[in-house]
Amino acid sequence: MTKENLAAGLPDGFTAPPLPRRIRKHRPDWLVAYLFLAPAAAVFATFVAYPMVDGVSTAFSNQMVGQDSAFVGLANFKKLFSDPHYIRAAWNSLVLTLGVVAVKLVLGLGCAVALSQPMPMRGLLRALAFLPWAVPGLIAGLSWKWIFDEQAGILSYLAMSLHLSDRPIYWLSDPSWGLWSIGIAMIWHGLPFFTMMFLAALSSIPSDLNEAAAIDGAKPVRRFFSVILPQLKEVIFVTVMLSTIWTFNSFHMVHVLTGGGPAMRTHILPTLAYHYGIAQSKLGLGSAVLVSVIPVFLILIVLLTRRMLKDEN
Amino acid sequence: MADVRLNQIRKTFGGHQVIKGIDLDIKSGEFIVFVGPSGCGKSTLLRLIAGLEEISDGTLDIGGMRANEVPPDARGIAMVFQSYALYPHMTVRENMAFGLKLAKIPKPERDAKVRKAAAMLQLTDYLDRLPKQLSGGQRQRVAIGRAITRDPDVFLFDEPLSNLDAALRVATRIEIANLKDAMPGTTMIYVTHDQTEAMTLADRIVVLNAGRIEQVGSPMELYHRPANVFVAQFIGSPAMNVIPVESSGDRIRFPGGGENDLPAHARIVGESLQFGIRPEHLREVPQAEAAFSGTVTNVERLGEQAIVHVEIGNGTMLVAKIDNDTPARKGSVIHLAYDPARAHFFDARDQAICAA
Repeated sequence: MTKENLAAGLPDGFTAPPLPRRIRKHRPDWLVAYLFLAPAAAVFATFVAYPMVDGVSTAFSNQMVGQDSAFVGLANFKKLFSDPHYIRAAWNSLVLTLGVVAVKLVLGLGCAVALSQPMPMRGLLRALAFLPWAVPGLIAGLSWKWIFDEQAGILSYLAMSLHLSDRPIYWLSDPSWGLWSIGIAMIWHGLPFFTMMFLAALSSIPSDLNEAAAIDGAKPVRRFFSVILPQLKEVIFVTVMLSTIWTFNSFHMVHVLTGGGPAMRTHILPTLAYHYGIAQSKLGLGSAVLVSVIPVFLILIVLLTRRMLKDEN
Repeated sequence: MADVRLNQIRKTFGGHQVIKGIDLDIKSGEFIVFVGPSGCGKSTLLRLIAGLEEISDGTLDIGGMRANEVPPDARGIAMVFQSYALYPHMTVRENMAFGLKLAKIPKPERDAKVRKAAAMLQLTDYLDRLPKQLSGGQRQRVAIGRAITRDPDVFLFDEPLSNLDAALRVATRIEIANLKDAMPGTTMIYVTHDQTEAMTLADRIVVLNAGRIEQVGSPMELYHRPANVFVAQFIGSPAMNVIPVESSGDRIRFPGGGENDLPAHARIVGESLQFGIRPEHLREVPQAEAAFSGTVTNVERLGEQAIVHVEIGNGTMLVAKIDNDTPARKGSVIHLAYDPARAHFFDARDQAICAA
């Protein structure tokens, strides 16, 4: 008996038929994996990686629209860090993001808790609560522009009708109101995402947890903070992180409502980048504005990814 | 120590009555088991006692006081849920102490109570673990421990063993039986669909069906003197054989032609009669002594005993639990007899006909 037949438990003299050609050559797993990955990698390289690398390299150049460019090192960044418009835009971005996300978090939790209670027409109320999320950002911005309009807008009309103000309020063109107005529009548009995420998380919490706490003597408020809220920790983290990134990058709302004005007072970093890069044709400076926030986003994205992959690992 | 009294308790969900007027007195320190098929209302009844559902009609007294409007935490109860309902973000210690903390019990006293309950349930080594770090059996013990620390007057169990595997179910059942001995003054109300749990744990069993009580009694009372066909077939495994029979004078005739004497108390004129016999009360006999003869359709051998399914004629099936040594096999003919003292008779309305 041959050694091979003995090992395979085959009778002496038995010769196995040859394997079909296509399975005789065994491809390594990693090669198969890369083959499957290749189409997505090609799309990513073309539409994500290349523009990003190009954008970063532009930030280190004096590129103007339609002109030759040269490498200028950190010159654009030095200029930005001493530019009051940049510092104001960075401050606006920070304040707007923190404020809007904080309000969305509190209101979103409140709405989710309210919409999770049994009540008549709950389905309709839920649909209405989610409606703003379905409106494209640009359309939402335009709608709010009309609402805030000092002459034709309903807010000014209401303020005067109710004698809260004796003259039109310049919601968008008054520097002290501009950021508030942008914030309100952003909250309106982004709140349904919070509500939706929290409502889904709330409905996945077993009701007997709440009932056990009730038997243990916890009143509704205590039950919410001691038993329900800790179960929402993960979804709160992920929602806040995602919303922070989206709100920070929310170009359209500011662009449509104020365009960064009046007097460059309501710019946030993405609109300032547009202002420098497109309106003033200084592509290098505009790119530098965006590249300057990459470290902040990297930290947020690493935190988010680690948390989201925690369960998977 | 508290007795629990239910007086014409009803519960309606959206116009549909699921509890249809329950009257029940549960004595202080008694271990009572609600048993019945899925949807019979046993869990709803427990939740009404716990205060987790509002009573639509009727009165509930706990410890002699009307409890209908009393919130769950003020009823002197503790409840063990089927799904354990442990707070996932709290350690075992925190889970067990949560109710005490809310009741503003001083920390040293809290710790002592938790330690005592943990020792009783062999949980001392797990006090600093999170629920997700425990096995199913350990989690259920924590849930029981959390209930014990509340020092309740009434202990409620809602199918506490349903999520456990068979071996663990037996072990935990024994622990609950021990708990009952260790807390003799505590009234315990236990919901299950498992009649073995009901039979082994209960002082009294309440058999529920479609929102009504079918019978209340001790396990042996229910086994030996079921009030109706439902109870007769629900208690005991395999279920009692109940077959329609013909009676004339002092004789009954079974489907397939067998005959036997009809006891005097079961001689009802003009009514159809049902005959009941438990599978374990049938025995294999020679043909001459047989009350039933039929063809074996299936044999389930359990080791010590065999469950034999027999077709005795006209499609009527009998199940017999007999000695495993029986030569019966699928397709063979078997002859069975019963002890008349073990026979049950039911009228056309499925109610038991009892000897005076």
